[in-house]
Amino acid sequence: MTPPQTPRDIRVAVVEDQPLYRQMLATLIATSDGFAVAGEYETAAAASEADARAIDVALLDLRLGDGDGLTVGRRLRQRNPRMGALLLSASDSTHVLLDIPRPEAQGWGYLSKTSSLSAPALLWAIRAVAEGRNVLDPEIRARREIRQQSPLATLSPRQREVLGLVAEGLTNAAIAEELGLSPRSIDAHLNAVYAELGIQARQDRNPRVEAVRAYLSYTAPAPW
Amino acid sequence: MVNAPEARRRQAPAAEPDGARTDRRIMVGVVAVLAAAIAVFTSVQSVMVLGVFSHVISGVEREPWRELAVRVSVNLVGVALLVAGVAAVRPERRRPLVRVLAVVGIALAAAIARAVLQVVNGVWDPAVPDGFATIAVEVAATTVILVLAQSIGLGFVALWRRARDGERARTAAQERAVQLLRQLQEEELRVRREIAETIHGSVQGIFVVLEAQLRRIAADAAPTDREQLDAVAAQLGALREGELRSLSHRLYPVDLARGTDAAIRTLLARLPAWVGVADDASQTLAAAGPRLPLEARVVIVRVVEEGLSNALRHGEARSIRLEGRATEGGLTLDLCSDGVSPAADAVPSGLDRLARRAEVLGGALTLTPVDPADGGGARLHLWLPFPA
Repeated sequence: MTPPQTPRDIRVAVVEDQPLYRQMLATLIATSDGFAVAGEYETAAAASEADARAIDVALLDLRLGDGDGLTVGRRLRQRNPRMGALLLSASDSTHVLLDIPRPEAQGWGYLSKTSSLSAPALLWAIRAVAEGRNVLDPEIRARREIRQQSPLATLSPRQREVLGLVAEGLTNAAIAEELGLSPRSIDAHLNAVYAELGIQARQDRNPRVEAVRAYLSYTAPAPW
Repeated sequence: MVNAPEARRRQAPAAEPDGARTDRRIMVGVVAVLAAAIAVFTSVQSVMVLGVFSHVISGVEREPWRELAVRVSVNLVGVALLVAGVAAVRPERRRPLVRVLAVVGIALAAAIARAVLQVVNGVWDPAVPDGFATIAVEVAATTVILVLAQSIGLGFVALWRRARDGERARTAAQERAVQLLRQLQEEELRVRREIAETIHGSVQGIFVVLEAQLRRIAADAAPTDREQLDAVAAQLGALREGELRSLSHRLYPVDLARGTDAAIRTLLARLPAWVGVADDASQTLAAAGPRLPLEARVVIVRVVEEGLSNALRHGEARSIRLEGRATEGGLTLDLCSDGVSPAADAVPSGLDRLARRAEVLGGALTLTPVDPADGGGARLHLWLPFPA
């Protein structure tokens, strides 16, 4: 039974055409504290018509029978720009995040379907995109390699490490804790990464989002 | 609702169709040439061979060249009248019975006109004994000859029409065949897409759920069973990620649904990290993609896919650049890779097949080796016509 929704609950819509998988996701969310299911949708058409203002985060299967989760997410965010969107896919197609226009790129995440069935990984990612962060599945991220002859190839190992954790959606404090460094040191590394990648502070562009886009552009999945 | 230019077109007299115009030219041309040749030939034969001279050419002595000039002139005037009649009445356009009457009528009118001119010019004298009978025979013979000339003209027109109708039938059959082929290709693509999306979506999803269930069971199982169950789950994962994904993509590039540029980016994104990639084609493809027919978009994706595969497998490429340009009337795509140059006459079977598909769309696909002195590798060039 779905627990009663509280004002603090993150309302999650589940958009997935595979009934069993959709049911598993919905059950996992509904039984977790601080989360509520805002709706379950089987098709892109039905999800696109949902009340976007009643959704904090949309869990979107990348490949739907009548469309794709990316398009559905963009449609919903046109009506609720603060909504987070988490794409789910059975494979590493993270480059699809680059198809999102820059002004809309914040608050998107990508999780493998395998990871999505682990409650901690799923709930952490939902919370992160709800806060407007960009999230890449750590398992997928760990299997990505920096492309030769790309700007990322010139980064130091530490800078690459920091950039990878930014791509996973970690805050600077969390990265500092993960690497056992001071937050000030993380700031310095990140600024060096921005400088190396030519990312400048601009009012219309979040440098963190730009860094994630650069990460996606210049990394490739390792052979399976 | 009919717009103004359309209304004007409808009110204007119907233009003569190309076929009817050609029929008239053939008919008039054949009749004119034949009749003129006969006119000259009969005059020369009468005067120079048979020695027939006019009964009366007022005040002029019998002189062969003058006699010939008079007869040829009169005959040619008759020919001109015949041709004018044919051009005006258009016997080739009439129904059979009317056509016969028209041909005989034109021939008779031209023959009578010629006879009158001959009498006026003193070629014939009706006053001499049997003069009228001679003129009547002359008119009858001329009529028969002119009917024959027109019949030959009609014969040429009939031959031309038969050839034209045959050509039209062949063209129609070819167009129908192309249309059927296109419909077949569209249907094939639709079915392929449906199956690929099912594999990519639902089937992979089921595998994910099965993996998760296996791992859950494994977590509660005895250590030896857990190891085996985890191994089976891992095999399922490998099958899903490798075989199913590859099968789905071979059937249809599902990313095409998000655009040609997105499908190409997917291919480039999956290149191994040790290959440097420069994508200078996405913007062009994003702009041109929606205007290209689906088959052309599939060909673009397949060409890039095959080119990348060849560059890695045979060319051992370390650097790949994709360039796209919209040119006048077409779209060009160049896939440039370094590494081992292919042989000058190399035509890999995959590319050969794709070249034929590009040709069906009115395009072309060529593979050019790059001289090792210039870095080696190859340039794969695709051109496809761009719909207006």
